[in-house]
Amino acid sequence: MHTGMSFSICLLKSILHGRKEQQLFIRCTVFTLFGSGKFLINMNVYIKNMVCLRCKMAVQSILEALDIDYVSIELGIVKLAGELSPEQQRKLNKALSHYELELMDNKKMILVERIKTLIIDTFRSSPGEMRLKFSEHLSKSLGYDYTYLANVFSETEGSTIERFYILTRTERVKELIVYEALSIKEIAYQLNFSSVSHLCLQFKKVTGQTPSMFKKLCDSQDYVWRTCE
Amino acid sequence: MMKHNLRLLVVDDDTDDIELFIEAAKEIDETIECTTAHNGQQALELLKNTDHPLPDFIFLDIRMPVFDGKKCLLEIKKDDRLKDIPVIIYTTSKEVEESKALREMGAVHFISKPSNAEEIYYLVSFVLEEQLFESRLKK
Repeated sequence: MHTGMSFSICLLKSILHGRKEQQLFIRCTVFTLFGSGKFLINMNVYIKNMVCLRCKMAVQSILEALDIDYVSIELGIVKLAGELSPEQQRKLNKALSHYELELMDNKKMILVERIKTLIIDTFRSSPGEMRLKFSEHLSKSLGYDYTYLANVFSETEGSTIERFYILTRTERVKELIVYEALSIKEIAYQLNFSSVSHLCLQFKKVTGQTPSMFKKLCDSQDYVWRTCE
Repeated sequence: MMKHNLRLLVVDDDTDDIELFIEAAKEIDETIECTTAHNGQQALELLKNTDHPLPDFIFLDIRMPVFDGKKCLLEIKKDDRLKDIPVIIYTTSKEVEESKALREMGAVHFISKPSNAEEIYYLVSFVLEEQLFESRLKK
């Protein structure tokens, strides 16, 4: 494991010289361990296209295979326990590419990925209990004005946050129909639709079929859901 | 839930944009009633006419000839009868500073008009949901 000492000194030097970011795609947090006189660096590495538990497991196995110590793995973000050498970065990127995952190398792309992760997380937790409008929740969580986030998303992705939000939620509706066997009413509440009819209309607009048609199709075709494709 | 059909007032000088907007609204819910105005002056006349029911939401373009959206927003916020109607700014501008200023003036949301009908659907749908969600929270 790397101690991170040399990197921390380098980082502090760069901050003193006004270069607050040593590398575009790695954000570092420096903590002083009182008493030890050493610095411990946690590096956040941002990974594109992580959407589910399988992606997390894939990243975990890659990190272990490459002997890279980590603190936590969340969708889109891995907190490493130390610095990452250029060689490790190269190997990590190569291994990730086998799973169609990749390290991100641009600030705006990182922000877009964080927006996507937040949207995915919202529908996987309990949005029914949300007490803020989603745009406010996004803005508060990421620390940027919603208009700025919407602009960055559109510039980077070529489509809007709102579209991604609705498409992601529609995919979640499918999952809840197939795997959780929830009623449409329960799903409408859980995913913050204003009404059951709104859910049905939007589902039809996006998928071309009603939720009940979708359910029948799944039942008849032994539908297998693949979230990672 | 609202007891009547959802009523929207769309204020925009571009008739093509208005048509795309109405199309998107009808796809969200065909019972949505859309009233339109082509400038701020016309919008205020409609809003102040007590024979017409008030809209639940106003979608307001900022850049319009005659009487622009900013002036219209100010007039709406000055009127006790109108000031609580949520106003969504719907414009070609992407200026973050302008969006902040308009929100401080009382607009509830600032959205940049997308270039195609499909994106308009997603945008209008998202914004309406947000406003309906907020109305539910307030209740």
